[in-house]
Amino acid sequence: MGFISTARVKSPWIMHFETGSCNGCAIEVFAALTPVYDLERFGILNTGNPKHADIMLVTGCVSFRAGRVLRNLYHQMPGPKAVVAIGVCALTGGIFHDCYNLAPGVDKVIPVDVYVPGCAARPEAIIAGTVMALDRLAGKAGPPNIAPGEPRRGLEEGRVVEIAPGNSDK
Amino acid sequence: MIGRTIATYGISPLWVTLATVVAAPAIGGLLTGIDRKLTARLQNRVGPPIWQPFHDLVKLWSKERITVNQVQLLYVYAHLFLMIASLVGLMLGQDLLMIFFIFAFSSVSLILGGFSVRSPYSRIGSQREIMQLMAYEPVLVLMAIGIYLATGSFFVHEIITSGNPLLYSLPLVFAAYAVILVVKLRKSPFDLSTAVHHVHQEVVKGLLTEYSGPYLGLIELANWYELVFLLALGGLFWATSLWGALLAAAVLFLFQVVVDTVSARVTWAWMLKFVWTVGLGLAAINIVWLYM
Amino acid sequence: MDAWPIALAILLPVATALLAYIFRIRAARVLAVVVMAAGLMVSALALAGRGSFTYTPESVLGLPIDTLITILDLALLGYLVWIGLSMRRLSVVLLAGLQLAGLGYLEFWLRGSTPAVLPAEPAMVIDRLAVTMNLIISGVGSLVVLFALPYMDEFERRQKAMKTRQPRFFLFLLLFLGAMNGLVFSNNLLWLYFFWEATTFSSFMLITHTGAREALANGLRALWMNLLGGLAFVLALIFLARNAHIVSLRALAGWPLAGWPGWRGLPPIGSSPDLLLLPMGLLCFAAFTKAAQFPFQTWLTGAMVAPTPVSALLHSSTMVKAAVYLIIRLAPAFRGTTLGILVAVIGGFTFMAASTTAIGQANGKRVLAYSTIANLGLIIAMAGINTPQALSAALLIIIFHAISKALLFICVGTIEHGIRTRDIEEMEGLFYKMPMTTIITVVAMTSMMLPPFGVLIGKWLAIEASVRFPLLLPFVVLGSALTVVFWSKWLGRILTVSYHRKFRLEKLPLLISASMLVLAAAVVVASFGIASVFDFLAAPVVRGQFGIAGVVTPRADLATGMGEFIPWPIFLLIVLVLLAIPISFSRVKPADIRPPYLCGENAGEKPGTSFYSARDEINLTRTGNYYVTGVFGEASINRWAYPIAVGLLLLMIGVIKP
Ligand code: SF4
Repeated sequence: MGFISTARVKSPWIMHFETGSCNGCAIEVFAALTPVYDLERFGILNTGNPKHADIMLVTGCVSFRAGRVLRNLYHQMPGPKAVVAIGVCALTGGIFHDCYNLAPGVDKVIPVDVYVPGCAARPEAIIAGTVMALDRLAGKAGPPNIAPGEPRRGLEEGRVVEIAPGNSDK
Repeated sequence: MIGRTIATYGISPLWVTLATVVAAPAIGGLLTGIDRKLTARLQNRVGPPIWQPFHDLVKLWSKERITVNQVQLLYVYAHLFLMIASLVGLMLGQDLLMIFFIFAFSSVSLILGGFSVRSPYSRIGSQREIMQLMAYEPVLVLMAIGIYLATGSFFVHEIITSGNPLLYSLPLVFAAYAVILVVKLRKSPFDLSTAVHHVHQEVVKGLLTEYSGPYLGLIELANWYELVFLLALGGLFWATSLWGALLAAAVLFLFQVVVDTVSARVTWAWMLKFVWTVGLGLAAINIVWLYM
Repeated sequence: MDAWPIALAILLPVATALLAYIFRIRAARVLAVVVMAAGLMVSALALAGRGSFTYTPESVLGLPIDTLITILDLALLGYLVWIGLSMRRLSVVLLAGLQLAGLGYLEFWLRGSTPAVLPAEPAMVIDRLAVTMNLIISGVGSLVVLFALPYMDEFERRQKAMKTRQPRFFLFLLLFLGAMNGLVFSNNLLWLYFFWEATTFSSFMLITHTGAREALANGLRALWMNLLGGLAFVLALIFLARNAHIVSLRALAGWPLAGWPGWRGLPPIGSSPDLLLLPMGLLCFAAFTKAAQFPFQTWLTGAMVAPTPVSALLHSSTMVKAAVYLIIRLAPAFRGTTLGILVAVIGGFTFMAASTTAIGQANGKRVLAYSTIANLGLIIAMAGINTPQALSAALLIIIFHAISKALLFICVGTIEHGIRTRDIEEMEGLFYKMPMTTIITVVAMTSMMLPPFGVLIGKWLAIEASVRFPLLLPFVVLGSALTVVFWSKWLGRILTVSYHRKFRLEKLPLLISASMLVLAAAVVVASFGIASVFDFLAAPVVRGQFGIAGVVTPRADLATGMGEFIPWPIFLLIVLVLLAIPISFSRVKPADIRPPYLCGENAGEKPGTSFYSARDEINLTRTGNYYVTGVFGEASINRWAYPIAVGLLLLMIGVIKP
């Protein structure tokens, strides 16, 4: 591994975004950040700010509104960047998959690198998923997953929310 | 200290400058790593390796350059250059007051950088940083004055060559300096404007919110210079011997790590009151001693 | 005749003023003012090129000047009484009336009864201090007057004035310039007093220029406060003439007179303290009122209702400097006395209190006013302790503050006409609307608070000079720390800018941009060459009093023996940073731009200005500055500042009473 990829792999700063649903996975992400698991061992810092983050951890089913925010946040992260979808809600919408106001799955909105299943996903699994996402930062991963599909429309108080699939970074 | 070596052996200022510019980041980065490791141990964690800050820096520099406007970068450069200038000034044994003014300029550049973007977080951070500046600046000036009263000169090199360690005559100023060191390093309980180094957050990331990638890396680099500058300043209190200076700096360093770990954040008004009463008070009392 | 520059400096503005008043055509006025500006600069340079000399004009148009000045003096005071009567302001009538009586007593009674009162000294002495002041008045003053030409057109357009009042405006503005030049040249205290009152008078006429209710009220406040000082001045004159037979400033203060072999003044004050302390204290009191020291600061902040050129010229760079000029002149006499320390403490206290108050101000011009008061306080403090370094600091601050502050007022005036407000909170995004004005404002503000600019170097020198004066020290330390606070807040506000692909320079009238650019260049060049400025203007003054300069300039820097300030490396760094501007502008591509972080809820076109709220509505983001008016507001400050300031003045009475 080159000098730069080493540094990238050794210093992944994360941010966590919860897009809705039951918050169970979000709680598990916080659990993973506690001193018990001590993620700082691996140079992982929780930044809470897309401009400083390398990896975004997304939990929850993506409601249209949260989808808009999710895309903004992703857009505000500087590359190279990776996304880890955590919990079945984030993967497919989970038990909420046929709700009227959802984009079922984070990959309907932004490209996803790693899927961490579970309801809720355990902290160990979340850490393992984050470590897998390091491949993206090291430049070793293939193209991220983007779910093809129709642009989704949601009606909220008469305002149309467009959620186009694809890499909104460009 | 280095200033003494110049005075004794007549090393050219150019070499001192070069050595400072090169060595300070190495020392500062390592100290930051030690800081993080110590904090982790105090919290019963393993913590990152002590060279972790260098990984962070390289990673930040390798990231995509994104920005909010065209002028953001200027403030970062001004902050970094002036920070280096104040450290070099210190190492060359220049006028302490002048060094403090350059140092203040450096802080103001960072503040203006925070103001220059339309982000509420970064601007609240800048406002608070101004309050921090207002809190520590008089103490720094009083410290320079105390040093003058003790040694008869504002020149750093004369402090080093003067007889007694400053700690004899300025113990309370040293204590006041320890207080403002925590403010200046933005460590808990005074990490209001932004929380550096750690997993702490405050108004997102305070005045650093809108800096990312390489720009943030430059600020990180400036922070290392700043750490070295502030510890060297603390070392001045026992500058007559190299080991004494290192000891004084080490005590200050450990002090701020411990304080950072054991305390929770306060509001800026509380900080201002605390620093202006305890910090300024201690420094002022010490200076009154010197007049008597 | 070798005195032509003096005549030019005083009479040219007066003549131009009358011309501009009589010929009410705009083109004639512009032409006359431009010619006058050139003439003033020539005369100032001619004077600067000469050594010190003395000059006693005997008569003008066959009329003895002494008589002429007496007549004008009485007429002026009479007119002021009339103003007081017509405006029904008892304080003005009383104060002007008492002065009239005092002056009459002095001129007719004392002059007749004691022949020794006749001036035995040259009426005018032109030394480096006078030259420095003259350079400021004629140089900065001319630029401000040039700026005023287009400014007043725009001002009247804004005011929707039916009939132009510009002839009246320029009459008083230019009369003021002449009076001010006369003031700094005068050695004869009676002459000095006349010019002093003339500046008070023109200040009043200019503050009340618009005739609005607020302007009248503030003008009258300025008038009575200055008249109070004038009364103290007259009392000092009477006392001096009666008991000490002195009418010469230098004789009073014991300044050595170059080129005049006669009487070298009374022995220094130590030998006859009772005799001279009282007039000295009264003159200092007069200076405090004119320099708007606490508790008289309200007249200067009120005077901000005047059109901006007035604030730039009278209320920051020149007229209020007359006060500190007087104190510097007197300083040798009370050096080392309790009075000196007290003057220093009063100045220092004002420095701190005004800097503190400035933090709580959101009105740009008021911030400038408080900053002016603070700097005047610092100069007075330095004159009060009057060591070689302190005097150097005072002179440097006078010079650099005059340039920077005039520039700042010009900038704020331009901004006000550009965005129709002087509220700092409204100046957000100025960088895009008026890039040139903003950059120049930034230069001016930076020069007020940061190295390597002159005012800061003056502050550095002031701190080093006051380390031996523990009573003054806390004020100077706190004041300089607070200064940074209000400037950075304001600076941050105007520098906020979103990404724009192109910045277009705004169009400004030629005279406005020219005066701004010249002053900005002067700030930078003079700060860069501060060693030469010091050597040429300040060092001779200090050496004249102390024999040594106190500050040496070995390597294009200032060294005091205790410390050294080297500005050029900082300039080098700033240039390095500025070089990054074109690089930064060319490198940043639209694709690199990301909107500011707003929790991902960014909305609207302009990044960072609005967000989706919890109810999914578009709300504007707004972040105000901290003003903390509960602590830094005028009311809260005055609660403790007034008692202290009044107490200090009362203390002074105890010190000076015979
Ligand atoms: S996956 Fe399960 S635990 Fe996680 S957010 Fe969805 S419902 Fe909650």
